[in-house]
Amino acid sequence: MTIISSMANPLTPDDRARYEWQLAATDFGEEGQTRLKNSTVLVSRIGGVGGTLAHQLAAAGVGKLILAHAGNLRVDDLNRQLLMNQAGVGQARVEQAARRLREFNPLIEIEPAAENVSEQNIDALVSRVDAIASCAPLFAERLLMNRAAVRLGKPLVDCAMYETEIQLVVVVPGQTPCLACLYPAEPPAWQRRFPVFGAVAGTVGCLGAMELIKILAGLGEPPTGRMLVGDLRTMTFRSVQLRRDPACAVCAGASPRPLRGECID
Amino acid sequence: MLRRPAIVHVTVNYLAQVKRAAGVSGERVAIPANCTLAQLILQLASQHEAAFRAMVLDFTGQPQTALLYAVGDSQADLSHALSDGDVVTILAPMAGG
Repeated sequence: MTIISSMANPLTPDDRARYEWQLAATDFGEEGQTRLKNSTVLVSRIGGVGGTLAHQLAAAGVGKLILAHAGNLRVDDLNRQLLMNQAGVGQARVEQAARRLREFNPLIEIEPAAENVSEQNIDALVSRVDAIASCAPLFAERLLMNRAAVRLGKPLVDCAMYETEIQLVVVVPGQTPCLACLYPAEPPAWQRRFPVFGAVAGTVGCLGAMELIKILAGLGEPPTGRMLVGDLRTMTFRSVQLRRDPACAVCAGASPRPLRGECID
Repeated sequence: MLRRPAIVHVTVNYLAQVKRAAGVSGERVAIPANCTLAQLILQLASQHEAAFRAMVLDFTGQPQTALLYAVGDSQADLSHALSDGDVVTILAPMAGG
């Protein structure tokens, strides 16, 4: 049984016109588009990865994006942060990103938060969304989002890169390994500074956006329990089969929760 | 009766910051038969520079548990016993953005 008609915001003629080319996708259609329209995603950091991811979610018609990113644009951000522009150097990144996305798609809602996720704000942010895009440059920030995702039962798509390499992990609390099952802590020698090409960051941002679209719309099969690993230097990709850690300090007691796309009917 | 070889060979691939610390993307390594993943890490640490040791060992000198290890295409524990021809991958957490 479908209950599209009971969703808060049904598709309008403007929606149908704008998303016409994706409405034809197999197993998506009006139901999938309506699910996207009634979804909210938290995008943590809107740099090279998160900015591209947010752009794709806006293009696909995800109804609301909450963008969390503190700080002002630096000139050396511009090799990868495509929602920004030269004139915005020295100005708040998140406001530029919000303005750009509103101009791009006025049919959706953009809520900028000029702060990075922290212990103080994480629950308030995550409790208001259907899914999380984890795109922060600090691994500690990703582990924080992972804990909140598990605690609040929200799917999390972790998109990461280093130089020409990418990693993608989909965390479904209670069903899949969480980030802490893989990396219980940040290795002491781990360095924040990372070499980055915008095309590499954007690649994993696009992949992450598609996983979120799939989760929200109930489309296809997310790569649950697997880590996608790729190196654009050699254009090689592989999946690593992951395991839940039965002693994981974060998710060991988590109960399975359905993906959003599975619980609407 | 066939005797098991005393030495076997595995291929080790390094990703992200571990690769940078190792200075190579991968290498073929001779290890004692029945060697565990933990023993392999200790052997590699003894053969590489300080930056690599800092990445793969914890402060007690034991293999770092905050890295992800795979044998073939599956995540593996440090207690995993390696076989001749195994392909081991050592992954550091990535962030980036």
